[in-house]
Amino acid sequence: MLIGIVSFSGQYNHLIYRRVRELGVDARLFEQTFNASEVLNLYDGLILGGGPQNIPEDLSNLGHVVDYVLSSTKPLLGICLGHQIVSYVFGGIIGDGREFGITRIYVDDEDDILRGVGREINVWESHNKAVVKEPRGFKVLAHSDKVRVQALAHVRKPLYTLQFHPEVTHTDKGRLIFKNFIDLCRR
Amino acid sequence: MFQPREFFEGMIRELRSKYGGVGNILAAVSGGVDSTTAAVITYKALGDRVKPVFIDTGFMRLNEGAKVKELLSSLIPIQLVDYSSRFYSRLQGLSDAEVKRKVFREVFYEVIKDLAMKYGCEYVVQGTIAPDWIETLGGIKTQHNVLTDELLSRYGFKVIEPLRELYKDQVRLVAKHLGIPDEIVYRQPFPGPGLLVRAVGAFSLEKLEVVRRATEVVEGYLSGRGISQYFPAVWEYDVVGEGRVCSDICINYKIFSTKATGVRGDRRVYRPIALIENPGNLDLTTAYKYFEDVEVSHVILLLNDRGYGKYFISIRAVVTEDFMTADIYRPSYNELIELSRELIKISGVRAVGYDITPKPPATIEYE
Repeated sequence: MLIGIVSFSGQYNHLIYRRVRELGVDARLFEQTFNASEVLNLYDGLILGGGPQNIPEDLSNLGHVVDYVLSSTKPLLGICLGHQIVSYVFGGIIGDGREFGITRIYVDDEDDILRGVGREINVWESHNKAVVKEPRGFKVLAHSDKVRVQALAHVRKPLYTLQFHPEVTHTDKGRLIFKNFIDLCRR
Repeated sequence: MFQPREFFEGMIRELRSKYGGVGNILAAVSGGVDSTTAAVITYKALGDRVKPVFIDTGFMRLNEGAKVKELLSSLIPIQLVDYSSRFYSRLQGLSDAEVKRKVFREVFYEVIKDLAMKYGCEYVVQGTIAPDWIETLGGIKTQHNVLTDELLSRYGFKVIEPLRELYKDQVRLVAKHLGIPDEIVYRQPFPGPGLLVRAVGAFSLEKLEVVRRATEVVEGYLSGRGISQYFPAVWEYDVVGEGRVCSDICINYKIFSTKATGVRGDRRVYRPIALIENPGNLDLTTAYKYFEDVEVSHVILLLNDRGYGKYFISIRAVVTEDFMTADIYRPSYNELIELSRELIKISGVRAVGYDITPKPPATIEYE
């Protein structure tokens, strides 16, 4: 099994790679310059990491990432910027919403990706924008006091997104979230 | 999980096959776990063609070079070389964090180049680890040990970076495996430009002396508690504004003229520092959350102010596994007050505070 990690030069993309490898699964970090047919054939699951870009302003500089999101039939996990890209591409709205460091989130629906994490966890965040209206076809899995959309899952496709960073050591249950994603890729 | 023995054996093979045929190799050792581990592993692979040096930049802590040489005497033969006057003359008066780091790096590589020529070395070993190049490529901070291709061709030497893919916790496991003394394995990280980036803002020898004395006090007081990194930083007590943030409660704060670095949403920020003078019943863990929408980099809680004097000392103590994110250490208020009473005795110091900002949104260091 091979997991592809799309790096948008975010601080923690290398940590995503590290966490996946720690679960005994091979992974590759790459940039979004490869076309979708190459990428989607090669990997059993795709993770879109964080980065400094703004959505939607910078979307045109993000290469083939929109194609990855729209044409992937395999499990896909969007983290931080990846969460905002997936939301926007499917018609969600991005607005202001800053959270940094420790943040309490409330899990309303574990679905597959948050299975077993519990009702409330402390996660770490680092974002200037947030999803203020979720896209149609997605359900909201978790919220914080300040940001209503902390995690999303598509109702039919294996698409999952998180505003927070499960890859950093300070996030509770981060490893479990990656394990849940790997399990989804194995199905 | 990461296996230090496997990494060590693989790296020995790789170093021998790649560099077995080259001449002498310079290894700059700072005494930190990264550069020491890189030097020792290269020395074990390639023997005494590797020349370990400790460069005294003038921004080291008290007696640092002699201590490091002594600690490592059974593993590598370190030469101490003093270049402090060259560093001081080039950095005098510079204020901007990035300019200071860049000029430091420039002088550092000139010195490396001089030493490489002196010892006939084409290659230089560096202790670069994963967060170093991730931070520099992301544009957060210029790390002094991250070289671009352009810089390499300008200085005319090549680098060997055996630890490039590792994180700090993994480097420590390798260091243990190599028999490096615990005092170095578990030593808190110390930035390449050393006390230069803890004399925040305009650099002067006077400010450097304050931060060097404060470092002795803070390290003495906070060592042995399992804190990942703990140190003081010093800047001018120069308040240029004030403000108030409210949500469930309201907090008044002052703004220092000095700027520091932070990282918000994967972007570098370089902004003023806020000071909370009356913390009341604030929870240390979450007080900084009130400042998420305020344009500052670090938030400091005031501990002690004697009303006169030129400098402000900030105590920084964080807990982290890999230094990519960091939470603040939470001593008791009484301990902080006790520590601040020692620090305020240092000549020229007006006030002392405790930094309550995690990473993100602040960086661990200030510059």
